[in-house]
Amino acid sequence: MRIERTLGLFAGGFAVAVILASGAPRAQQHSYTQQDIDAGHALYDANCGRCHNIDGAGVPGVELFKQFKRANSDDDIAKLIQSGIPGTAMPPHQFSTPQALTVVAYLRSMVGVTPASASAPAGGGSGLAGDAARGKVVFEGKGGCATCHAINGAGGTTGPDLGPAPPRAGGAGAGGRGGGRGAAPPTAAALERSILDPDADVAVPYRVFQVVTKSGQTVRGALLNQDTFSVQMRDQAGDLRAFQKTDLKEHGFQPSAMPSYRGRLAPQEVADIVAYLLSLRGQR
Amino acid sequence: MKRFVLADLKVGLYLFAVLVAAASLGAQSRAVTSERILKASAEPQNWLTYSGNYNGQRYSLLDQITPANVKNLELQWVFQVRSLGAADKFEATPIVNDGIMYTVSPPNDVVALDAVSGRIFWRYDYANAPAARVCCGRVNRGLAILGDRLFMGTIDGKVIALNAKTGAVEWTKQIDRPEAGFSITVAPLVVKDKIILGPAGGEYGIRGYIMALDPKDGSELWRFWTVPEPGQPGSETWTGPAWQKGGGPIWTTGTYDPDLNLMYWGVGNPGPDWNGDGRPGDNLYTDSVVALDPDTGKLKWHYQYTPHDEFDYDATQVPVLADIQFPEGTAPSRSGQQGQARKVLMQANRNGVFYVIDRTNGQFLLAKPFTKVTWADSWDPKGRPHRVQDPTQEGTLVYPNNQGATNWYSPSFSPRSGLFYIPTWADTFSSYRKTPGPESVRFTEGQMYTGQFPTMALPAMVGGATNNRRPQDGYGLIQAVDPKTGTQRWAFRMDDVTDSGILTTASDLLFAGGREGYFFALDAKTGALLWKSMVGGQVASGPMTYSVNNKQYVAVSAGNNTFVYALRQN
Repeated sequence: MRIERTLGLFAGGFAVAVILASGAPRAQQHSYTQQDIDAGHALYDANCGRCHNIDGAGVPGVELFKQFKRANSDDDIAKLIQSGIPGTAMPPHQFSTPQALTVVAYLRSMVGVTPASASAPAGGGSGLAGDAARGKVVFEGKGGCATCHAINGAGGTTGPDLGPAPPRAGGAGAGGRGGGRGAAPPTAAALERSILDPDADVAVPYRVFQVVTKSGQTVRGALLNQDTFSVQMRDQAGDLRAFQKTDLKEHGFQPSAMPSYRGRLAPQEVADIVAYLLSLRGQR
Repeated sequence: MKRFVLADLKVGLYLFAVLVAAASLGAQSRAVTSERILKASAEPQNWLTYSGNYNGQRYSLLDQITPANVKNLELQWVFQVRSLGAADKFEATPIVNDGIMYTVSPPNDVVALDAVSGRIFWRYDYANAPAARVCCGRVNRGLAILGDRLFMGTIDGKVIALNAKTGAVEWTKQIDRPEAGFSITVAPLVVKDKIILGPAGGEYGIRGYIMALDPKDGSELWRFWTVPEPGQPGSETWTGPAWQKGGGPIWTTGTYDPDLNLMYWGVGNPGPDWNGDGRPGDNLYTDSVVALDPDTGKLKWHYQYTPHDEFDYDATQVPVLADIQFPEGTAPSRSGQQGQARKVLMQANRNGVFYVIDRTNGQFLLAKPFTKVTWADSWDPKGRPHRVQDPTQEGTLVYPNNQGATNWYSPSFSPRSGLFYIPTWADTFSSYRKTPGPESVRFTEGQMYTGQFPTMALPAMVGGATNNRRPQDGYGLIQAVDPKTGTQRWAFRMDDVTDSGILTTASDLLFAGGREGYFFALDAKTGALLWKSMVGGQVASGPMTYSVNNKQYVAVSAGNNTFVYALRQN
């Protein structure tokens, strides 16, 4: 692994996306190669994921994908990882400083990516080879995908932006399932499933929750919280609403707004769109 | 003469009144002898061990609180803990001896409380060494008591004996090295004149053991290695030097059958957790229940629930003991003595399967999934599972998830209802990934030695403040299973999962809670909700009950507090 002790950008312009997405000043001191991030990812998975979860959201009040409360500079975060936080559940770790800095590199790479807990993994898929150029044509034309989905800001806003940075959460469109931050980018099979079975895994910001009261009132919006006896939500007017389930006739998530493309597009066309979306991330 | 008699009567009445007052108010607590622990069911007003009784049933004979009056429960007092961090959980089950409650404020502060008022007699604060490291939160599951001494394991690998009257340290024994990942989170078990416990640390490449300490000074009396060394029975299930870092931690209290003079302990996962390529073989006695002679530590028998585990399915769940009459014609009935109750051990395992085993000899009697299970599809007559899934490079979707279909959360068995009650994480899944080959997991002392962390749709350690997940990501159940068949009799469903233990009582009440922050009472026969209280933090402990001055109390730790309830006085 290699740690360059100079200010700079991540390979592939990753740092720009990270810093812009974080929206907060962050004292990143070092530049990291993708190799560093990968090495840190492996250490994180083995040492940190158990408490912090694979998406960095496992400890209440500690959101690794947003910012760090107790340290800001890379060196301070690395020291904190090494020493732990006395009096808390954060134990010391016997990492060398270069190792700890790779974990910092990985944590930095998490920032700004929409959190989502892990979902069903990839697997299956048509196995057809897709053509990215043809896929772009179908995406913008026959598929009508651009009506709802933007690519890096250009396109519709109803569904998730499918550009390379966000989102890695499961998508109403082809944003991909198969894991949250820290998980591998969506695979071809996962993207294909999102196109053919979009309802299976809708990204959190695109989930619509609906309650129907016993008096016949219907309220839709974002589900903020729920338990066995009650529901807390923000309705479509932006107001906070709470309901006791005993007062409800029905409650639950609404189907995804995205239609299934099974039967609408030929399997080859689906494979082409998948190839196009993967090509946006420099993948094949 | 007459006057003298009257005076004598007055004195006698006075003495009687004093004695009555002493018996009911400010009575002295008695030393806890091993004989009292053995006959704990004869004094249901007390709770002298982790599970309340050697059989692990977490069933109380107290019956003042009933399905009819449970709606009149009201909060009596709250004990607030000052030491919990964001990732910590309050997991201890209190001990109660003659009106005095002892509990552990995480990670290792001890407090003696007036069980009636919640006021503190004394507290003992312990600062763990900075080298302490635990995989899953700075937790402690409780104390053991013998004589006038309390015994506590610490997350920096010590056992500390405290004077129950003063909180003064009687002795401290360093069991193992915290910098190598050894910690003690289990509530020790007292059997006869020994303190039994073992270390946690299955994520740090430890080699686990169960040990007996002398309560007088902490000296080691015997040790049973949960991972055998070469040449010992079971060592044939390991390859090469893997046994040295083979895991097998101990972190939930075992049970004891005095008639058979056998203890039963659930053993944790093999190391590394999620990549078994470096440890070919079944990896005994990880993920097993072991039956040990408490006098010698000798193994009588074992049963392995998950051979060659790569899913972190620790078998540390409480092995519950009961005598069960199986219907004639069923397999357990045929293999036993016709018409006689069998001495069984029941375990709802983290791997999603409910097991019944003959505790006299380890004979496999029954295995039945209690939620969605995909890693195995059948069991042979000896109880070996037919495993159908393994971690892969791209990820294998496995039910239940890594945290398990249940975990250390105490189950309960009610001899009245004949049902076994399981706190359940229902229909959860993980994607298990591994880079094939042993070289992909490197060992460095004190660092986690696990392989790749599986994906989880639910927070593993501590529930989030909010839950906007979809039902298909998993949910919680308190479910009742008929141990004769393993079939579900009823289930109380919760939107979120539960880390709560279960208490049942002789009045057919069941107490439990969950991550949503409710503590509730169900009808143990039907699962109907009878009462609930929002305690504002996740219940991650086993509820217990006790009685003082003929008043029954129910206690549960949740969030940062212990809450104690009793019936409203009219």
